[in-house]
Amino acid sequence: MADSATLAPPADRALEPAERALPVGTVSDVRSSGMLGMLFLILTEATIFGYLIFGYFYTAASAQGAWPPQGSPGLGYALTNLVLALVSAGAVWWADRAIRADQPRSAAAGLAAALFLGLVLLGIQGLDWRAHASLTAGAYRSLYLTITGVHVAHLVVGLGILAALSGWTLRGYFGAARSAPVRIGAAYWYFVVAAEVAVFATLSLSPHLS
Amino acid sequence: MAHSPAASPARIPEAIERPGQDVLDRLERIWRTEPGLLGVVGTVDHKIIGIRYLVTAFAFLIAGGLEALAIRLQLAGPDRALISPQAYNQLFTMHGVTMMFLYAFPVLSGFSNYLWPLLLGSRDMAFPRLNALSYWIFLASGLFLYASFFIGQAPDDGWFNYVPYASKVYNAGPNIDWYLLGLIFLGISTTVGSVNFVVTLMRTRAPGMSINRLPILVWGTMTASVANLFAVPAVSLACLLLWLDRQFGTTFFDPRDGGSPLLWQHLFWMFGHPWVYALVLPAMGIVSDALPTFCRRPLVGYTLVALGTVATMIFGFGVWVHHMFATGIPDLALSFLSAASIVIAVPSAVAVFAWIATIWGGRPVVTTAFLFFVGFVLLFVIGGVSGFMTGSVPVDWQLTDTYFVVAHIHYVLVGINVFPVIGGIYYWFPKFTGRMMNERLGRWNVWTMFVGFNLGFFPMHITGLMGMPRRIYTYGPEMGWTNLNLVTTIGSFLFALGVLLFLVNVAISLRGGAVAGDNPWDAPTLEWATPSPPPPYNFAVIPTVASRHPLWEDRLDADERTDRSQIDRGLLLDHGRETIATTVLDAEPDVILKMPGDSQAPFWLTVALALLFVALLLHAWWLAGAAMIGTGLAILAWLWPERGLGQRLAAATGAPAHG
Repeated sequence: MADSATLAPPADRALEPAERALPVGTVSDVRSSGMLGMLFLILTEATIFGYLIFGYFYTAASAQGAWPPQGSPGLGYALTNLVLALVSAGAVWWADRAIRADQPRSAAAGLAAALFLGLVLLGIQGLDWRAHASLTAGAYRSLYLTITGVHVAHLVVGLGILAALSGWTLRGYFGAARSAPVRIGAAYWYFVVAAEVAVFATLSLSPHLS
Repeated sequence: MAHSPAASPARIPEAIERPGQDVLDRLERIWRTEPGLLGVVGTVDHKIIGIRYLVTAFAFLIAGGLEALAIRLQLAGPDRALISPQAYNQLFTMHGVTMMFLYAFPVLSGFSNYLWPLLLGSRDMAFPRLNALSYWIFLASGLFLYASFFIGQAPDDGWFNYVPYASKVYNAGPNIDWYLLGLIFLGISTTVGSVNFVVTLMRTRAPGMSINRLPILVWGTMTASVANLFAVPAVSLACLLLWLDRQFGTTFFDPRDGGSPLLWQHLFWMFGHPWVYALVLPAMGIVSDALPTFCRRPLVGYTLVALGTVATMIFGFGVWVHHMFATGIPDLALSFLSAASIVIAVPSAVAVFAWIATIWGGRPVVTTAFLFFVGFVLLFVIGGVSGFMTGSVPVDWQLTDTYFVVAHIHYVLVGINVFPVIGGIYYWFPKFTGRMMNERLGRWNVWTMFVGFNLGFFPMHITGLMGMPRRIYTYGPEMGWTNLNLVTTIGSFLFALGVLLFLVNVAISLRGGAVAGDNPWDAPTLEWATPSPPPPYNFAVIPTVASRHPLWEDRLDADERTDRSQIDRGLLLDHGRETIATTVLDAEPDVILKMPGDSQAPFWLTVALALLFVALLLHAWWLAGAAMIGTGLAILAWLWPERGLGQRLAAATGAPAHG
């Protein structure tokens, strides 16, 4: 890889490493260090779900007899949660737009709405767990409760992020000139919602497809 | 997507030439770590953190080495009863766990933490506080794992911890739980460290440090870090699932209830094989960067070595099954993964030929560091060939779980990790401390280690071919393994003596070594443009880079170049802690980054996490809940937007600034 002419600045320019004004601090941009850090965090957390889903299908493929052993799970709770998650993603998207339009109150309202939807989702997941047997009822149950449990753990972290961002936004910390934290938190929430979709596809849809 | 630039603060950064003492004093005040306990706990200086990583990793190397010596005493002759079978299991397990997890990777993190900002022409990593966190968690998880030793119930199922022996039925004590929770804990450190390296690579490089000019150490660490982001979740998840199996009666790995023991092996080696490359690629980078200095010429085949580094890791994700050839995997999968395991030799061989060509085409200056690097190349070839052999399925079926595999793993890991690491310390010790290491003692050091290593580990190939299984605590005289084992034990003690000579050399050179100066080896890369040891701010002005060897430009292709790297003239950036962020590929100035100061948050976050893992081990659920709340509060305090860092609107007064 030879240094091409475009990479090497001309000799007369080499003395001036930066001659234009540069933004100071982490700018409100998808290129901020915080956003990059969040994207790589999401990458590694998404990998956890990848391995969980691998474990699910690996165990399913080597199962003796029916899979799931007690027949396909009902779709009621799972579909409700899927819809709640998608609507909450819309609320966060609204907040993201509002903060860039310099409307912190609207942004806080969007974040708080997503927080509320997430709490409802958490409660419904609790109902779903109560309706099902314990961890110890075989490999399928172990997988079902662990996959939903890992998702809930990520959901709880997301709720913490939404709560902190709502509070900080209400305190006037963020606006059009400083929207990066809201956008970074939004990225995490989109990941939680995407994971919900993946979990739904694995646990609820795939048994109906085979 | 676009935001109005006028809305956020901006300025034209001042560029100055040969900054005076007043400027240096001001930068020193801005960047120094406060003295006292608060500074010790709160520092975010990547150089201090790097040295801590190195020292802690060497402490674990000594611990793991002493465990190995105890093992070798037990195996020195047939039917010896120095160590009970139970204690022997704990010793070989902790030896493996220590070396694989607490020495080999952290020691490379130490080099990279210390060197990256210096190599890249920056003042710090992208996330200085995350850097501190990754060290504290490494330390805490290491102490957590070792605490098991003090109650006599250390992990005892080998470093890859296969079920069913690790299941509750066969291993009822807490031994395996220490391992499972300890590895999950350590995984947090590896993950945050890896994110930090990747983002640092994308952001905090000097202007002109485009990706075709990155030192190979940076390529190696970057590759290992990206791989860790994909690999570590596999082992963390496997550990979580096994912990649930053991503590809560799930049946992921229990075939009686629909689970599969092989799932553990798949998840472990999906992590484990990329991990082996994470342990060697940065070390190969150390050699690729330091060897050319002693050969007085640039590395041959830079682009091929850089791309080979990345290619090795990509292949490395497709070869995990070669640890499982003997488990009854379908033939087609065996053939495919065997082929992948053999093909992976190609990019490694490219690097070997590049090093040989660099020595061949250079004018080598024989120093201790040079000898360590040459020794590394030889051991790498031997370890590579034995790995190539076991990549073939029929050979593997014969050799699996014998001492041949033990010989292979030690040639690979001692050869490609320990030799470059110690050579790297000889090379960078002057930069770390301002003093040279003793060359005469160094020769004794390198030859003792090289002879001791080969005397100890080469015979293991033969004991393996003779059928001696790994991990047996003793053997009978009729097996015919006695003499070879005695030779191995003698070799291992000679090797340990070599490591001791190294430690002695470090101790005496710290006090009495010759004063080094900025660039004692006349080396080409940016870290040697700073004083030894470097000041807290690294570079008084941010350099501008025009080639891969900024300090050798005067003598290399002097006629062709129209542009020169700028070392003494560059961006000052002294409005508080600041460094420059550049674009990902071409490294053009992009943003002036405000960098955080010292912070207590990483330390207290680690304390809260350590309490959490102790509580999980003890089933102390109230403590676990409290520790989780503590974790959340520490993170909240850490992330609370600071005005000084531009993390909140300048006009914010506590009430919404706009309707």
